[in-house]
Parts: sequence; C-alpha cells; structure tokens
Amino acid sequence: MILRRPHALLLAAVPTLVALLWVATALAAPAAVPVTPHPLEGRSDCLVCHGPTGPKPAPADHAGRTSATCLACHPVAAAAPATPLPTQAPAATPPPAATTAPAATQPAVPATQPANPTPLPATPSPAATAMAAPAAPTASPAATEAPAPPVQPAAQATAPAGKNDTCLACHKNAGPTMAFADGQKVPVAADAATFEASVHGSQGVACVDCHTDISGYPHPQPSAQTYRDYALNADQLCQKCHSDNYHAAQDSVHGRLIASGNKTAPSCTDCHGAHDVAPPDQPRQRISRTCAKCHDSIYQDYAASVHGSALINEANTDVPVCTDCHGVHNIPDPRTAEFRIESPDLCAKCHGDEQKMAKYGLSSKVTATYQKEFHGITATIYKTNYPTVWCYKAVCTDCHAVHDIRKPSDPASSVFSANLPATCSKCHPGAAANFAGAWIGHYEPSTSSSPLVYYINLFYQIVIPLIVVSLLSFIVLEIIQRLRLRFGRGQRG
Amino acid sequence: MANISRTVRPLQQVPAYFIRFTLNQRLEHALLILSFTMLSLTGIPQKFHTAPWADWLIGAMSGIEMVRQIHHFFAAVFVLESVYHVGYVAYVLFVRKGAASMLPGLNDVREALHLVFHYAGLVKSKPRHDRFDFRQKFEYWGIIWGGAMMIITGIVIWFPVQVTQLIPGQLVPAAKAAHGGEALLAVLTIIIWHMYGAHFSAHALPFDKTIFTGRISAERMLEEHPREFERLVGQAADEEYVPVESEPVQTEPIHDERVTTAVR
Repeated sequence: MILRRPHALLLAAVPTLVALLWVATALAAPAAVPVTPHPLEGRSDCLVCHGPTGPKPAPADHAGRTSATCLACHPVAAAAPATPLPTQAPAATPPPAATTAPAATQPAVPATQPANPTPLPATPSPAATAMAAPAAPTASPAATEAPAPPVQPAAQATAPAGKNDTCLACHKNAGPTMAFADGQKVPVAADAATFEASVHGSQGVACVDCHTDISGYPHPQPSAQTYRDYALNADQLCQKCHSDNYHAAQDSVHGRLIASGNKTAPSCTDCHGAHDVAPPDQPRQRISRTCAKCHDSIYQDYAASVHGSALINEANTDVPVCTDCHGVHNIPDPRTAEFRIESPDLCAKCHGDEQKMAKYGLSSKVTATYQKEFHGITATIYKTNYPTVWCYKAVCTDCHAVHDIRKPSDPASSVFSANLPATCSKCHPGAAANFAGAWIGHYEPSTSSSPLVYYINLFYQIVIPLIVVSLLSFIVLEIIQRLRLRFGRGQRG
Repeated sequence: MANISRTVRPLQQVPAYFIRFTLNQRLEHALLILSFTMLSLTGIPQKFHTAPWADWLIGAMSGIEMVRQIHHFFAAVFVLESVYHVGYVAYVLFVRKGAASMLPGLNDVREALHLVFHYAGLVKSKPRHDRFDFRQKFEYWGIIWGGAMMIITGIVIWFPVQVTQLIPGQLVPAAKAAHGGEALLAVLTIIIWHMYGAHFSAHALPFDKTIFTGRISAERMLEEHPREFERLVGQAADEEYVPVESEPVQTEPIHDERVTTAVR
C-alpha cells in the first residue's frame, strides 16, 4: 500500500499544500463539512480504513456507501474550494465556448471529480488531470476570458455519464428529508429516470449545476425558513442560465406578487416543474393546463370557449392558448387600463390575419371596422393619448366575453342575437331590443350591410365636393370680375 | 353706380346709416358664432380623430371626455338658441306682422343667374337685391336645414338608449353618419362662403361689421340692397343722394313706419 516516493516531491508539496489550505480557508468553505484530512496518494479504496471493520470506521448512517462517493462530501482539504459553479456571469451570453474554456468549468463539478493537488496516475478521468495543473484553480480568470458558457455544453464537457451518481447515492433513497425551521420535513429523493428524461437531464445538466449551494456533507442548512421560501429561492438557480426569462418573470404580475410578499404566487418551478422540466408546449394543450393549476375557473371558461374547445377537442393550433394573449414570462396584470386598451390589438393578432381568418370563413376586418365605430374611435383615442386611464367604452371582450368567447351563432354566446340587449345593457342600462340594432357590426357599410349608413355616406361624399366646388367657383368668378373691373378701369383712365 | 360722396346736386337727403340688425339679431348671431365655433372645434376633431392635428386639438382641450362634454354643452346652447330663434321669427311674422324677408323665391334664382351671367360678362347690369340677397338666403336656410339635421341626429346619438325605445336601432349609426357628414358640409360652407362674404368680398374687405354694430351705411345700402333702399326711401336707387346726419333708419324685421316719413 505504501509506496516509496522521492523525498523532493514531499518537500515541494508541503508549501503548496499550506498555500492551498490558506486559499481554501480564505474562500470560506463551510467548516461543518469534515474534509479528508490526508492526501490521496496511493490510496484507492477508502473503505479499507473507513469501512465498518477498518481502523477509522465511518459513522453508522454512512452504511452502504461506496468508496466512489466519499469525496463528494469529503473533499481533500487542500484542494476543495468551496466555490460553486464559476458560471455566475450572466448566462444570457451567446455562443458557448465550451471547448475553449474547459478550465473554467472544471471546478463546476467539485463533487464529481476529486480535486487533487498531485495527479494520481491511477485516476481515469482526464478532467481531473487537467484540473490538477493549476495549483488553485479559481473561477475568475478563465471565467472572464471565456464568456460564461451555458450549462449544457459545459456539463456535457465535464460531466460524463454517471455524473450524478454521487448525489443519487443518497438521493435515490426515499428516506432522507430536508428539515426547515418551521418544522416541515421535505423528502429530498430525486428520481433519476425522471431527471434524465427532463430537458435538463437529457442535455447532460448535472445536479450541482443547479444545486450550487450543495458543497459537502452534511449539506449546509438552507437559508430558507420554510419549504415555500426554498422553492421561491429556487428562481435564483434558474436565473443562472435563463436570465432573460427570469427577469421577465420578475416584472410579471406573478413576480410582482411574490415581491410584494404573496408567497402563493408562482415561481419558475411552479409552472415548469423542478426535476421533471419538460418543453412547456408539448403538447400545446399543456400550456393552458399549466395555468389551470391555479386559474382553474378561468380554464373552465376557456375550455368551453370557441378557442379552448378547438384546442382541447380538435388539437387546433391556430387558436390562442393562455400565453398567446397573456404573454409567457412577462405576464402583465390583465386588470390594468393599459392591458384593457391594448386588448383589441391582441384579438387583432389573429382576427386581423387574412389568411388565418379565411380558413374559418371569418372577416379579418373586425378590428378595423371596430376602430371606425364609436366605441373603437374612443378606445383608439385613449390608446394613443392616455393609455393608463381606464376607458369605459367597450373593447372586444366587453361584448364577446373574456375567456368564454363563443361563436355568435352559439345560443350561449354573449353576442348571440337574443342575448344582445342584455349584453348592451351592461353599459347601457335600459337598452331595449331595438338598441342592439344600433351596432352596425364588424362589416363595412354597403348596399347589403347597413345600407342606410352606406347611402348617407355616399350622399355626403357627393354633395360636399359638389357644394364646395360650386361655392369656390362662384367666388373665383367674383374675384375675376373684380380684377377685370379694376384692370378695365385703369385702361380707360 | 350711385356715388354719394361725389354728389354735386343734392336731390334727396338720406340718413348716413340704416339700422340693419336689431340688438336681438346681433346677440343671436354672437351666440351662433360661439356655439358653432365650439361645436366645430370639438366635433370635427372627433370625426378626423386619426389625424395628428385632431389629436393635438383633443389633447389641447384636456382629452376626449372633456371634448365631448364641451360639445354637449354647446349643443345645448345651440338647441336653445334655435328654439329661441324659431319663437322670435314666429313673433315677428305673426304678432308684429313683419315682412318675411328671408323667404326664398323664384326671384332669388333669377338674381343668382343674373349675377353669374354678369360675372361671365354676358350681362352688363348687376342684379338688384332686396334686404337679403340669394347668397344670404342660401346661408340662412343652410343653417336652418343643417341646424335641424344636426339637432335631430345629435339627439339620436346623444341619447341612443332612449331614442331606440321609439325608433329602430339602425337609425343610430345612420344619424351618426349624417351628423358627421352634415357637420363637415356646414363647416366647409361657413369657412368658404360665409368667411368670404363677410371678410373678403368687395364691400366687406377686411371685415363687415354690420352684424355686430347693426349699422349699414347708406352707400352700402344703395350698392348691396338697392331695392330695400327704394322701399325705405321711396326713391329710385339710381338717383344721387346726400347722406345727412340724422337718426339712423330702422329697417326690418320690425318695420318702422317712421322710415319713409323721417327720410322725407
């Protein structure tokens, strides 16, 4: 077991070790983790000493753990920087430079590859060899050189198959829990198969890429007081790579609610899941079902609507799902004056699309005609001039309903002919059946649609120019006469 | 053309001024200017709301809601003034037995054609107008017709819920279309015709003050209303006259019998 080594190497290693120890302490590794106090030179099987029968047996709760997992929690004292992932720089940076910055990503996996100041010839991992070269590889130099590589390629480069084995050695078991200050104990089991199938697992993202606060064993007590706080804090983990979406969500109605102290508002994982993150729009129906987790009554309305039923029953991809109108991460508060006044434009995104509307035999001019009509004129003026002032004139949803939008031919529709007086009465109390006839619909006046309006407009289109031209001609005649008189007089004089 | 200042031989003495409009008429005109201007300023931008100038005007008047309130207020002023005018005219015609000098007739068509032929150089003489020439009658009846249209259609679109208890709903957008069309016609007519007549025509340049002062000079009476002049003075208008400082002569609408005696 004990190999004879040249004396000189030891002499060189001592000051290096001292220096590295100092650096490691300076970097403030949580002291609670018992580190491996001895170098690993020549040692390949921890359990020889630390097994139940060895001279220094590990605690009883370590039973069943193999040599391969020891270093995950017990890094060698000298080379166990507590620094987590070096990729703290904005993750929104474009093309990953994974191949050019392996060094930067090496310390990203302190738990999976034993950090070793002196390379072990026996170590199979080339990554470990590479990282051993710099005495104390800190993230900063390489990280500044190479723009923070997104996790995926980095993880692929550094996390070969089985990278999560260390974590799963414990977390595959159903038993372990995480205790919070409020007494809640949350199971910390992670299903490897679920994770591997997720968008992250399938791209080679490692546990520690997200769980950057885990750096040794026992794991540091989470700073969150409750499990909910812990879940909300998890947004910070997503931010590392999904900065844009994170910040958009911060500005959203949900983000603002959280910021204002409402802890029931959704964070990243509430919509996307944690270990089972899947593409949110596969299938497309999944999007609205995700929102339904909290907004169920609205989902029921939507599901019964012309849009929702086409989505759910016919898998129609033309109809809008929640996010098409409400936005994805930056979901604005739909109860504001701004949202209201912009809402006709939302409808026009599809209902102004000639091709899409032609598919269903619908007019693509509904918004354009609305904007020429009293309500629409006013709404347009509000939108242009005072978008933050509540506009009481009807927008699309006031007549057509918000989520429960149905075909006008559907007797349950708010714009079904028999329901029109009631719908109009919402704003025009006392509206008689005749009143609904005042709405000239979403069609340009023509000989067949609102002919009276058509002919009145036509009348003025003819009469106004006619009268204006007549009056102007008369004036021109008189001016000519005046000039002629003056001119003629001058000649005579 | 009669010329007073160069008169050599005083044949007939006439007052230097005639009272053409009563105080009541002048106040009505002032009220009409006010309501018409405000209705136009608050109405036309609503019709052309997509134009930048309309946008600016609406903003300058504290926004669309305020614009509509102003419009409704002056609409009420206009309606009251219209009702008052109808009552006043009825009083003058039927109680005071005044002359219906605004009534259009075939003579106005003749005068209009006459003037056009004159301008075209086909006829040398000019038409000889009475108290109101065909242009003034055209404007007056234009306002009567347009005002009635605007009031009726305006009421329909101001109170759509109430009026559709009685009339079909389709008349509401029709009323709105007519209100906008008639408004544009009225504004253009006033800008082109009335402003020309009152500010730029031969006699008015730069500004015809008669409707504000009520007074019109004997010279202009001879030039613009020779037949009225003759009726009042009792002499042919192609004679030469000398203006004298005397009580101005009250013309219509309430015909004063003193006119003829005072002049003689």
